Amino acid sequence: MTNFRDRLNALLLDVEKPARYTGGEFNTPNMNKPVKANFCFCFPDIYEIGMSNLGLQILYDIVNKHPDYRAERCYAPWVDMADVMRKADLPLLSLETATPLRDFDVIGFSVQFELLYTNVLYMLDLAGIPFWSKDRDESFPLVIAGGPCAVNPEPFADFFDAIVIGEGEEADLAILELVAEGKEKHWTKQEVLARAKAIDGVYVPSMFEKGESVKKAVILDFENASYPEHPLVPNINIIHDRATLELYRGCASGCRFCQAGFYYRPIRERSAKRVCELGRAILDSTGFDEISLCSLSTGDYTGLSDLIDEMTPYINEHIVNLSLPSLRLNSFDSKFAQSSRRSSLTFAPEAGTQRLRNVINKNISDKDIENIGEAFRVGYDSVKLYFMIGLPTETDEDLAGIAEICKTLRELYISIRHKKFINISVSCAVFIPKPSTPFQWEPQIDIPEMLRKQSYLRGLLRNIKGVNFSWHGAESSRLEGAFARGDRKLAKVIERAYKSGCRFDSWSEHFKWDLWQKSFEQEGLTMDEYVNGVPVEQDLPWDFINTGVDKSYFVKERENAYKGITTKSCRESCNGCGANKLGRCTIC
Amino acid sequence: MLVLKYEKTGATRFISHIDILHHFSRIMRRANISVEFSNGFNPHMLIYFSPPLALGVGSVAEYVTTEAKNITAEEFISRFNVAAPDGLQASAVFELEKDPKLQGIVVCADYILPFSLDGIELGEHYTITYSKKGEEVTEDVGDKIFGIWEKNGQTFIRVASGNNNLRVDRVANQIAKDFNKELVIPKILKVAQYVKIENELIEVDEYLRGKNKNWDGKR
Ligand code: SF4
Repeated sequence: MTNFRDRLNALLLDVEKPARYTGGEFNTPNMNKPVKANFCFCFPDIYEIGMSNLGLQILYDIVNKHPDYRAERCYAPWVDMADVMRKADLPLLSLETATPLRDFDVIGFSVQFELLYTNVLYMLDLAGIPFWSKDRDESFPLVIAGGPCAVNPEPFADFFDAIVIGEGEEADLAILELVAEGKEKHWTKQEVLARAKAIDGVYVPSMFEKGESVKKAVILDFENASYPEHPLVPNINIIHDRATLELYRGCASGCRFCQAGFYYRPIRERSAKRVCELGRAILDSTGFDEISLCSLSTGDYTGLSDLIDEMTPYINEHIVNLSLPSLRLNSFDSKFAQSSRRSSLTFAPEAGTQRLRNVINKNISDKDIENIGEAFRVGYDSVKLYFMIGLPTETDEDLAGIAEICKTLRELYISIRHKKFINISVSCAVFIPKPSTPFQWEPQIDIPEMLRKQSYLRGLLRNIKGVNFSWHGAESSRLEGAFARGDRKLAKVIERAYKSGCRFDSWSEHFKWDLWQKSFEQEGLTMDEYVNGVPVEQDLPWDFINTGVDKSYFVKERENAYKGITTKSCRESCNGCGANKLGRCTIC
Repeated sequence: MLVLKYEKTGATRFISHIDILHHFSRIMRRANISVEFSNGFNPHMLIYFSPPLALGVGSVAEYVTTEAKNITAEEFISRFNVAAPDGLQASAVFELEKDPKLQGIVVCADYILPFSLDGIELGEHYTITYSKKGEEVTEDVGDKIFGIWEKNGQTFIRVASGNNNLRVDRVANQIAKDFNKELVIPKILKVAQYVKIENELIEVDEYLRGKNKNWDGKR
């Protein structure tokens, strides 16, 4: 037998950051237990990003806790590593036991983002596994996918044997159970998949019949759901190099552009007591010196105040930093700001005027923005602001509003602190209409318009001292838009693009716009047809997925958007979106 | 002050010195060993290492010095080893009055090279060529090689370390090229470090033991 570990080690000094590829992280579960089936979690981006992903950590932990199964990991090797692996004829290996991916029973991709689709093929290619489900015989593992992009799995459906829609905690184990039984009883892949279809949330593209629907998988008992208390401690500095606590799933705010906010409904909160217990256990077992609270709108968490009070003694004793990401303006409170030792505050007004914020249902008022003064009072000198351009009904006046906010903040800072050295960084994404939102029918603005808006805004911001402006690439936003609402025809485009040299599309230095355009053309398609507006009556590629939220609710929300009517937070009362058909919302 | 002797083997060979620093601070936290912190806005643990090891090279003779509070040497090493990953386990601990500042006083180190000594002859002005930041550098390192010999069928080399450093991977590469040996860098292993006292080389364990009372905490 070839010793893959030795062959791998012989290559590692020829690449950047070799510790990306060695495994051996502290808290690695026992890899020697005898198991009935094994699973390799594949993340189509590099170690530093993949290791930071909470969803994957949760699933990895659940599979390894089970006495009968083992899970390993594989992240996309950076391009330098792929080169030396190809030269040495070394296939893609799991980190833990250096086992080739093709020798696993199941390999599962976590698809987080539209611009990672070519990286799925890149990893399959390096693993020596055919791209198309139909081309893989019994000698290959079951290849499955999950993650946020499964909200519209059609562009990549034909690559996979099965796709988990929604939360994977229970579905992954149920699939492994079938695979283990299938191994014992010598079932074919088809026989396994035919049974897998019955599992909540499991979509089998090759066996799907018109008129069927797939119900999103939802964890009902979120309070007691398994959570990694001994997460892996990364070998090298990663993007989120800290302990992470998940406070709740779903979001009560109902921002109309936000896919995650609707897709992860019903809203389920975990008690502050349990979150605090988890926090202590994770800090004890990892030695992290920072802990972050992670949820879509952390500031809205019912137990936030209790949690901070309860964690504070531990945090002070052990010199741990508590960081609070994605604080919404209207949930700002200096108590929270003070308990975080950060020097920069992050806010996401998303739009520059009250009018447009009403359209998108971002419940932040001008008064909330003035509240940032509290942060200046407790010592903050720098603010990060997130906006979107190209939102439905947006005019130049709304863009000018962004500059107005910056001016207001600067004046506020000067009046409170009597000095002028405030740092305001403004980051602008391009609005991308996403499935499972009230804006799923909207057109995306075209590239010349994106560039015009960006340069208009840049011009306005240039005149304000202390403001830094950054924006997302117009072309990559276009591509993301096309894939977000894509259909099965796009799989061939992805294959073409990969074969012509596209991978790591989310890394601007690797993004190859011309090759993407060519790939669409060669398949007789254009990106435009996927980013244009869609009539509400028209069938959508993801209509077969039952996310709980009714289509009629999205239609109503869209109408309200155009009228500038806002919808109150679900924390005040249920708005009747329908998600509670799949499980109770614990906040109302 | 406690000086811990530890290994850097297996996967940890590929972790850079900067990241290792991070690992130690996390190990101390997991072991619940309170170590002195620096003052300032972002306090960090005060720990001091022996000269850093080239990436990929293994070692069973690395040292780290800390001021740990309320803990005996014996407890220190046993808690450390529970909290440390495979490949960063400690083999001994020494108790000293003050920081021996190993980074500054170590002068050379012994390594085992993963090939036989047959046919190898290094002249007084042995010259190596390597690339540094994309540029090719040629250097006479004769005075930085203190010896090469065989013992129990293994090849040992002693090279300068510390302030006047010679990277063992670079010499080993040159030797492998000049004498047609097969070399995989991760199979090189550092086995001892030395300080110089009154013109005499003293192995670091001896040095730490000799001047101070010590407890040998072999696992
Ligand atoms: S069911 Fe009601 S409370 Fe739950 S997410 Fe929908 S609107 Fe909000």
